[in-house]
Amino acid sequence: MSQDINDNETKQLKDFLGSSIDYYQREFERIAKEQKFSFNLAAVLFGPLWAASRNVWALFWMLVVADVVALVIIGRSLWGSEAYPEASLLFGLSLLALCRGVGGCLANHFYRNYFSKWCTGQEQSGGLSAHRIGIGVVLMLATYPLTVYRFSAASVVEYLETFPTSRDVALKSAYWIDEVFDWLTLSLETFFGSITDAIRGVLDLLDLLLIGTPWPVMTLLLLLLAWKKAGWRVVVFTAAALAYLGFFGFWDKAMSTMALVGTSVFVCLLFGIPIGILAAKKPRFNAVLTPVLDMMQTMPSFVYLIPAIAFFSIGKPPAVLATVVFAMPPMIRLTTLGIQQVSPSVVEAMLAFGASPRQVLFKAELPLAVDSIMTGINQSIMMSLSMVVIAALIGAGGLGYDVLFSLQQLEAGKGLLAGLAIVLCAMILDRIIQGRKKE
Amino acid sequence: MTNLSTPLPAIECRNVWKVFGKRSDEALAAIKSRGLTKEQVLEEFACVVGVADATFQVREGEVFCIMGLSGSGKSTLVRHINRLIEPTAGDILVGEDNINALNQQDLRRIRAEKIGMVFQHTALLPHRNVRENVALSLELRNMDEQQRLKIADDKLALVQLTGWGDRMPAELSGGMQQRVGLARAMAADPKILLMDEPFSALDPLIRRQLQDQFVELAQVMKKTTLFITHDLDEAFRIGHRIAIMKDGAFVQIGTPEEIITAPADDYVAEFVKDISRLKLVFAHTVMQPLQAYLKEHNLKADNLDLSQYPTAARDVDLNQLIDLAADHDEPIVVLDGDTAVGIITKRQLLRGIQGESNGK
Repeated sequence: MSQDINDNETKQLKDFLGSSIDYYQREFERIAKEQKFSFNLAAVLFGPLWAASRNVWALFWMLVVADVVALVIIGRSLWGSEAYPEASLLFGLSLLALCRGVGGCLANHFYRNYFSKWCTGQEQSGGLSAHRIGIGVVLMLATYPLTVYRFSAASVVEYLETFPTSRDVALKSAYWIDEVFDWLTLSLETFFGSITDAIRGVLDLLDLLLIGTPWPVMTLLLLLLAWKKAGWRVVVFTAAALAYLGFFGFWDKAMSTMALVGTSVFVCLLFGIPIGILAAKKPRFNAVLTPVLDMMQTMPSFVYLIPAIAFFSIGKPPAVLATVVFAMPPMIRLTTLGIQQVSPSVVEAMLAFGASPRQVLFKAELPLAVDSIMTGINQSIMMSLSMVVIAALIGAGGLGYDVLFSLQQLEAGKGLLAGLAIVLCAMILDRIIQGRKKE
Repeated sequence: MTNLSTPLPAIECRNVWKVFGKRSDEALAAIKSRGLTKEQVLEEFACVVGVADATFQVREGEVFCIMGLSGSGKSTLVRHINRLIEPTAGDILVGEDNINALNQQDLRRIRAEKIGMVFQHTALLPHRNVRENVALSLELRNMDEQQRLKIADDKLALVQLTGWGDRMPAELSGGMQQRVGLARAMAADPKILLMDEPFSALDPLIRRQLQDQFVELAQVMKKTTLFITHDLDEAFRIGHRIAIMKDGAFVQIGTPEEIITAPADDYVAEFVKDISRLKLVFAHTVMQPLQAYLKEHNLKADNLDLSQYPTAARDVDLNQLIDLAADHDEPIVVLDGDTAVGIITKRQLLRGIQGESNGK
């Protein structure tokens, strides 16, 4: 029985190697018997080329890096840019020898790992191959001479030091983009104007509600909400946080920030949920949407402040829009996720009992996605608050402005107090909404 | 064409094919013209044959079981009846309606009013209480709330869940949830019940209870039922007729007794091998016809005094015959009405219990 296995393995090894079977069979057996030391002379002599010929590319690159470092040291000593050329020549040579030696010790281990991968059928070819040696030589020729020359020569040709640039291309592109922006601003003035008006309408309403309501009433309402949704611990926390906002003179500014956040989240909800539903229903739309959402989230927010100003001038409405760009992706993603997570058997049951697509959506999918959508709202709120300071740059006012002002005046104390106020606003909203989730 | 003396079948499938995949039409044409096997279709067209030429009728009030192992296409087939899956070819008739010719609106109406469905994994709406779940099909038809919740309570009583209406599905055990599923399927009082492995996910004891409960209920409600199962025992306990499915095609359709006494091929024979015959095989199958018995024992019909022998009707099962045989020494006389038609000796009874394939 064990003879069969051995025969089979020998046959596989033969197929794999093609040549020097006896050597590798002996070495692989030694490694299998827990004898960790196995030395490959060919790997020492030929270095990266051995690895390339055997298709072990991880080892190839490790050896290339070691070779280049050693060669640079040797080169510097020969070119005379070192204080003690003999010492550094000796150091370079011994480093080269050491690295090759380590490579020789590792070679058979790497090769054996590659062999077991090959046995599972994932890799196509083993053995020696002239084709791969060729690739190895080309790669080494492409990296060795220039790198060694760049690091060891006393003075280097200029075009090697810096990437050849073309300022003209960059300038022209930027100019064209400017032109497009200008044209858009002019030709779509009424469109942008009406968006601004709509956002300002919502903002003014919320401002009136939050700032206009006398503070004792507002406090009472917030505490009641906290108690209803999240229990007495959150009530205590909310009371303390509101007291801080009041005593330190942040009340009005905090309410103004809340109005800004509220408007942003409202816009996120208004567009995010329908887009999220559509993405859940249409895989193709989702495929297009995903990179757009990635871009919205990763692009630094300062970058889209510029077009926001160009189209909507400065003030609160463009601040809301910039915030929406940043805060809407989680809303969309979590709505999509929530709907996709609804068990297909529930949808099937709805259809089997005669539900129309609309009934499936409103009676099964949306109610079951509520938890996920709530998480989305929470995320949107948090991300909106994180944009407060940046939005203050274009005149959003509120707590963000205090932080920005302290930054400009180098008043660390004031800045920290205002920053803490933003954190507290975020925590009040977060705790109240989280409490809703736990039910 | 239709024979007027027999009523229209409640469900009829005519040459239904379902081939999954992008090139299903080509694949089906190739199957019909070149007779490809399932594997060849997969290799050549990258299509999977779900249902292959299924033709059957379910009579009004009948419980028709479709039995097959997983992957045999039984769940796919049952979804054609309410068109959750569209067939590649073939006709499906429910009563007078050709299901595939309906527009979306009529299809929804038929699903809501005529066809109730029970699923393997219950598929109750987790965010609604039990009563609202049961009332689902009525709600989808826009029945007013008071009326539909009252009907829901009635249906809950039918499956012995009175008083559970206000609970959430997650609070109920698996067996209870499945009873809610049954109540939901019956809420609209549909003519047809589709049951897709309703008891498969339950533990054996509960499964047995629910099977018994369902048999009782089926006798009262007399609903045409298409019952899918992978458990032959279950099919024999519940079904009036059974269809055995393999690789998307029907291997045999018949009553439990027909299947157990005359399996169509080795595949079916292998299935029924370990099934207890006691309640599935009846007197008329194991008896020796009276004339043959008389001839063998050189007796005359006039000499036979029936009062001396124990008697049994034609449709008495083996279990009862054993009781009779245990209490009497004489062979059992089988009666059709008042006339004797056959004799069962102890030898025949034992062979009948054993199964003919073993006996000969």
